[in-house]
Amino acid sequence: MIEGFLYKKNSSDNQKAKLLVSADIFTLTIENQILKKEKISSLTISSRLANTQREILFEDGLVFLTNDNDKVDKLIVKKRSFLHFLESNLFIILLSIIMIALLIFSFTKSGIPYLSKKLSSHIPLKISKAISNNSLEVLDKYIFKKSNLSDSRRDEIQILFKNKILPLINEKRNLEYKLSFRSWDIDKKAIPNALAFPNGEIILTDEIVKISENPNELISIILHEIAHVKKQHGMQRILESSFITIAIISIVGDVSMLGDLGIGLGSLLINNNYSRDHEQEADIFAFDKMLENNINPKYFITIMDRINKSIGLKNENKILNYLSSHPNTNTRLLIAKKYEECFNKQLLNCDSIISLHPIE
Amino acid sequence: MKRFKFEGKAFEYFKIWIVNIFLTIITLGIYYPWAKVRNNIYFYRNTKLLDKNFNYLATGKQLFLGYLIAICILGIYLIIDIIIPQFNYIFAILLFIAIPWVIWRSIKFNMKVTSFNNVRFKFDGKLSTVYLIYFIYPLALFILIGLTIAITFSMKSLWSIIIGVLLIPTLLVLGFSFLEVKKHSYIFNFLEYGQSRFKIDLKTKMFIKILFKTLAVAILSFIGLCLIMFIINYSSITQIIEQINYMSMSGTMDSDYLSEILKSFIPQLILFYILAIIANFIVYAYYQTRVREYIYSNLVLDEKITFTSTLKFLKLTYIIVSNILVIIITLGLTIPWAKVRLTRYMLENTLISSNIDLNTFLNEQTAKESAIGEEIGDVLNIDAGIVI
Repeated sequence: MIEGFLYKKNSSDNQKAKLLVSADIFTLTIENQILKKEKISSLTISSRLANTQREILFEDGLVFLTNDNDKVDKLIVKKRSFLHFLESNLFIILLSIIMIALLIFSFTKSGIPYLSKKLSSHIPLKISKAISNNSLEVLDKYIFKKSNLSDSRRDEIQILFKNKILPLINEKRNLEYKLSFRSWDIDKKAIPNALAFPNGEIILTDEIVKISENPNELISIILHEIAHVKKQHGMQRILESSFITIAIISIVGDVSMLGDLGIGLGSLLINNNYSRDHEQEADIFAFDKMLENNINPKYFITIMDRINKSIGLKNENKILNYLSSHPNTNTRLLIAKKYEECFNKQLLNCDSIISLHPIE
Repeated sequence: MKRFKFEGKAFEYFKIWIVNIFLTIITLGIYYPWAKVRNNIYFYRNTKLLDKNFNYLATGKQLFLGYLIAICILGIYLIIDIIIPQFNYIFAILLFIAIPWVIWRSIKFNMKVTSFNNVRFKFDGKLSTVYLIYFIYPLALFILIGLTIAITFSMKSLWSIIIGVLLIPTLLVLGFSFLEVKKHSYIFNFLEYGQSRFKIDLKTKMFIKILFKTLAVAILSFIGLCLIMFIINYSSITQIIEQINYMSMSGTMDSDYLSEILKSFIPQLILFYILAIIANFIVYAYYQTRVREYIYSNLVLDEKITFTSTLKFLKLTYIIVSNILVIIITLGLTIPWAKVRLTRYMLENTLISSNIDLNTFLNEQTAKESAIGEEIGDVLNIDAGIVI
């Protein structure tokens, strides 16, 4: 016997009622008066959710509301609802917590970078070019100024670029690498930096040219930037952040303001972490090319050292390391040192390096 | 006087929540509308008044199409944003034109699928009113402010700039209060429960008052924030200033040393960040408490039933801030607990009273049968998550 309330259709008018079930016939009674005696199959029953009130709908629109969920399941529904089974089984709950944690971890750690890598090579070059032109326009308008380097100095580097660097790059896409110069100041302090755009546009700031003491240093920097273009890191980053946005919105879209905060912070940390892998990949590309062409990889260390000194970064600590987009200088140095050893031994490649890939 | 009750339990909801997330992930998001329905059902059915409960009647299938469209729009937006960011504003304009319609459909739909004691709510506000509130008025305000800036700043006299600087915040406060009044009035004045209607009479003046009080709270919490940071860092700041002074005078400015100093500030920066978040929620909680209090005190159902909100601003702040901290510490696992806790506090501080017998009133409501024409237009159900 199931106790509950009987409602008229679309009405809050209700009375205490009882539902008796025998075999596949139910009997609906109010104060011991029989109101209905029909087949169970004529009933529509809303699905069970924890122990909340459920409604049983009769064919004529009457509604029977009851909290006696166990009896409804046992006598009328006869099989347990799959969702309710999942929601009430502690083992399954524990399993889904672990699964979710694993899925989120592996998806952000490997799934998203993998997908972005795969996808980025399918994105038409036209799009990459459009994006690059756009971002360069914005930078030129608001951040960069015209280069103040002398024409002869610029020509010198352009010749270096054409004769020594371009032949090293074996670009299969219909892409033309170009080098140009800009000056970039923050608070009247010139910033030594190099940038690469997906369309092959490489930018050197005046300060990085001034800071360099050897053409090989500039070669190492330019090679590093070219690696970003060649390996399509820019596009991958855009795809990665899009994936993360979509994933977060679709999974926890309605957590409201409470959850958003923690999630937003988390995605920022993840996002920055990706580009560290990219930086390392670019480093290794540059080292490989230098080794192949008999340029000592130490030049990369010497110029990076000077750049770090100039912007006041040294011995990054742990917190900073996680927030910064460049790999920990120490890890970077270690790899460079290894390459330098290979160079000194006059090896042409230095594969052992892969095992140095950072383990936090 | 009767209180609303919330009977949801944190662990019970946790189980539903985690299964929802799990199924959403392994179906690559397709399950989301069904998850949302189960989620809502849990909260609605556990909300009680006089031992009768609310119910959420939408089905996953009903929400699915709207969800699909939302995903497509997001996708298109992301693609446009990447390929041709210049066209973003065209997309934004189109979205602005569509949004009032979406809001209208969403309110209508959400009210229709909400029932209490077997009777559905019904919203019959006009579409044209939504366009007025969510499009024409904001646009007019925007133009007005733009004109004010253009006129007062182009005259290039000190006085006109002072007038402009004073006029713009005034316009913002007035406009915002006016819009808030219109929005809340629109939702409640066209809401029906059974044969009974809701009525609300809100004054812009009161919203301006609330806004000014909120501003005062914001300024006070900002001062408090600065004071705390100053007291904590007083000794280290003076020490560092002395050091820097010494170094610059003796000409031994060392960038390494400077960056070391800056790094030692990281814990303080994190503390500042946390305090700023707390300050932000103090302000938010204050505004919410006051607005809710004012709205409920003016809401009447069927000319005889009134409402009261007894939320306390400090208690609400405490609940929100502690919720967030616990959520961060537990990596999100306590989101269900936090939601249940907040919902319980909000509902248990909502009172309903009347000089007639509430029990009788609530048990004699009948919803009008809806016309067939309305049902056809309901194929496209949108739930934009409007929260009242």
